[in-house]
Amino acid sequence: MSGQEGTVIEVRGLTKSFPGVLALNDVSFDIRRNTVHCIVGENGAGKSTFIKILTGAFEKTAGEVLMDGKSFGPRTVREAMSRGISVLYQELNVVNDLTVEENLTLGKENHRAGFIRKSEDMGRVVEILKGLDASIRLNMSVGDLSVAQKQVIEIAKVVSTESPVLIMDEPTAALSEDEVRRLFAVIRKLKADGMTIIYISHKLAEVFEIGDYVTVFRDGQMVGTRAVGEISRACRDVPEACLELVKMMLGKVVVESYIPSRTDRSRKLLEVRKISNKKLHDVHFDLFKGEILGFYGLVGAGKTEVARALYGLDEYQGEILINGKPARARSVRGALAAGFSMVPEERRADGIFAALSIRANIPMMRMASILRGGLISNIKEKRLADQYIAKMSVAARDRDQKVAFLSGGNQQKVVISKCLNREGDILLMDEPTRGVDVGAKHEIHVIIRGLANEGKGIIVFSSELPEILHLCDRIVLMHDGSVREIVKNGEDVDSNHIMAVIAGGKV
Amino acid sequence: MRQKAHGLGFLRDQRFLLLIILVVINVLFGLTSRNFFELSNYYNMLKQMAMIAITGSAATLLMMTGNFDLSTGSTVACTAVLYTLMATQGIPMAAAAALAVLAGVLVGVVNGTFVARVGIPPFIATLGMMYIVRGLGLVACNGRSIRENIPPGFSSLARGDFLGIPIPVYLIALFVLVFWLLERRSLLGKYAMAIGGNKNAAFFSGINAGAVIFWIFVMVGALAAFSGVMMASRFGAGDPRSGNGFEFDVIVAILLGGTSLSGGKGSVIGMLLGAMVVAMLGNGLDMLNVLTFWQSILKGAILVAAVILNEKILATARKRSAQAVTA
Repeated sequence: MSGQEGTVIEVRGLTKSFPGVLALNDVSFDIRRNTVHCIVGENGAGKSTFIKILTGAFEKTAGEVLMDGKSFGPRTVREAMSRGISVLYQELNVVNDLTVEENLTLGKENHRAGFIRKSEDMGRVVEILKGLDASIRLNMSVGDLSVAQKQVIEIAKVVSTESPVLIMDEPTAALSEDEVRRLFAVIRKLKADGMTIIYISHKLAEVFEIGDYVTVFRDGQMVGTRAVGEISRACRDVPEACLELVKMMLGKVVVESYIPSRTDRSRKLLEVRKISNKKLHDVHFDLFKGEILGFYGLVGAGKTEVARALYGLDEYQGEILINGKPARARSVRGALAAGFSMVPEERRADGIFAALSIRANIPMMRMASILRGGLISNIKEKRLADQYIAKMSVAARDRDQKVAFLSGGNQQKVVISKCLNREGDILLMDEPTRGVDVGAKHEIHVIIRGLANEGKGIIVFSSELPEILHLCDRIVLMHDGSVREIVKNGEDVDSNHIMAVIAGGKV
Repeated sequence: MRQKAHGLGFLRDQRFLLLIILVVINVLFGLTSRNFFELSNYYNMLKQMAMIAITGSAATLLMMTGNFDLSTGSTVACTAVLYTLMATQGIPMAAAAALAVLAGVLVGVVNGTFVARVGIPPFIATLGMMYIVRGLGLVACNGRSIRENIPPGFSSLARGDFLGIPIPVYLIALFVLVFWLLERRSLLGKYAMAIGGNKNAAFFSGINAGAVIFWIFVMVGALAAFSGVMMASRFGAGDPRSGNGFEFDVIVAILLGGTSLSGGKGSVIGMLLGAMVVAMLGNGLDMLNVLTFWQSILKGAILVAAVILNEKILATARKRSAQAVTA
């Protein structure tokens, strides 16, 4: 960490509020020149909001950002670039149908170098590209390149603008391990050339490998900034590596009292036998009747992938037994027929029919419940809707209200109703309380517990440890696509141990 | 406040608007043209629009899923030719009609397979079929319309009466009623709405979108073929060039009726009203001796105006309801 000449970006009391949400709350920290500064945090921590303010996509509500000691408040991405901040977005912005050369010159007129200096710039871009990855030739079609190579083209473009600060937004999300290593070599090269890199990630291993400093965001607040070297030194002395960072990311675990469900341990509803696919390795667990099983891990650990495999969305090897019988159908319709139903993570995209009324939404998974003589019975449809609106206490004007106009929590209750009306044995709930206010969250937890006591088997996939510890009878801890440990919930459960395991520490 | 917003909800309904437009058109033409208000003229208009309304009944369900069929006009022409060919060869008319409808079913099967199973966009798949089926109709009769040896009673389907009311009026009523019931009360209608509304959520709910879209394409093909039979009966001939622009007349009627091109909402009754608006405009302007060129311009303008109006109405309705919830 030599060659630092003070601070390039100072953030002072930065605040961004949206109607009803405080996305960034009084954030202050410094980014030192010529370092790789990592920003980590779970989803919704405020990382993206912070980046969007730096790049001019959002306007800050309060506070100040200084760059090189001068006030910095870009209103457009172009302005941010001209002041010296450029971004490598998670989504690649290359045109597959063009050649490497055409891609490199594409949109150049937007840069400060201007149209006239294009040919000169080209020489520099090519030089930079060669320095980063010599295997890419200018006449290649970009469509034939790997994701990592496309990324290198974007990096070359960004670097050629000579902006001193480069923001990388989860650059490894789509890369293989080998490609990640090459990307890191590129980052080290850029740093050696004097650049400052702001590296957004939620993967702790990357922070330790590439970072000089790390700032942790949680719930819109800056939790702390540490020199990575200090933490890794501490890690070597303390066997549970990374624990401090994980704790910073996840926050103090305030657990509401856990009440065990009336689990019938004599009846296995679900047996998952060593399922594996691209993202999962030998995932193995059971679910009992009346049990709430939690899946916990950091983002990318494989929780969602387990849900997707069970629900027939992803392929897998291995075996799933339901009520002791092998479930062979590997499609959503097969999974539904086998007794699964799922509350999906993306409520708006995958869960609700926003333009339809509550009463039209609820029977969608099992229309037979409102048929009479082969036709839809309005009376039955209304009765079903009223029954679930009462059971879930959905706050709505009436059953004919469009779901689009309900609050997040009430939309979620409609999705749960839809799944319950399926009357399957096993309910998969992916982030059941995401984007839901505190009151509705509590209500949904009460509903989930009630369902378990009615004899359903419930699997909760959550990135919130308090939710998991509050609800679940057993907790499956995942890291890197594998089940690391299955712990039984109770008074003696050790949240420090749980965090160490999901961070990849020893079991 | 809430009660009021609820009670006046019908004001924002496209169908209510169409009804007002219909009344206005009737009054205007009734005042300016001498013969417009006669019962026989209304029957005439209904006979003209029968094919559009019948094909449109099924095509409304199709558009509710976010799909559409550009090949219906060609299917009308092709099946009109096939039906007339068979009828003039001495095949009983009922059997000939059934076989013609079967041909339409085949067109629907091809469309449905390409869109729902192979995953080709409906624009391309049905545009291709539009050309192919049009060509098949021309091939079948060597490009000449069939006018010889027309059996007696050939025209009664489109021109006959029953109890003093033209048969096409009964047919419109029958198909609109059946598809209105399908839209409102059947699984097919609900699933069509769900698929058009949110394809992902439909998938997560286990709805077999492919099968739903496939079978609706088949229905559209069958009804377009039946419309072809009526077309032949109406003209007393099998003309391979008939049904030109028919597919767009159907789509215009559906869009006027408040069905969204991207799916998710739709109304068979709205389609019927839309078809009536188009038919009455054409009829009334004919009586005022307005050139058909102007009618085409007017039709286009009304379509665009209606859709803009509908989207505007929707937008304000959304805003209002959203405010009602947050308030």
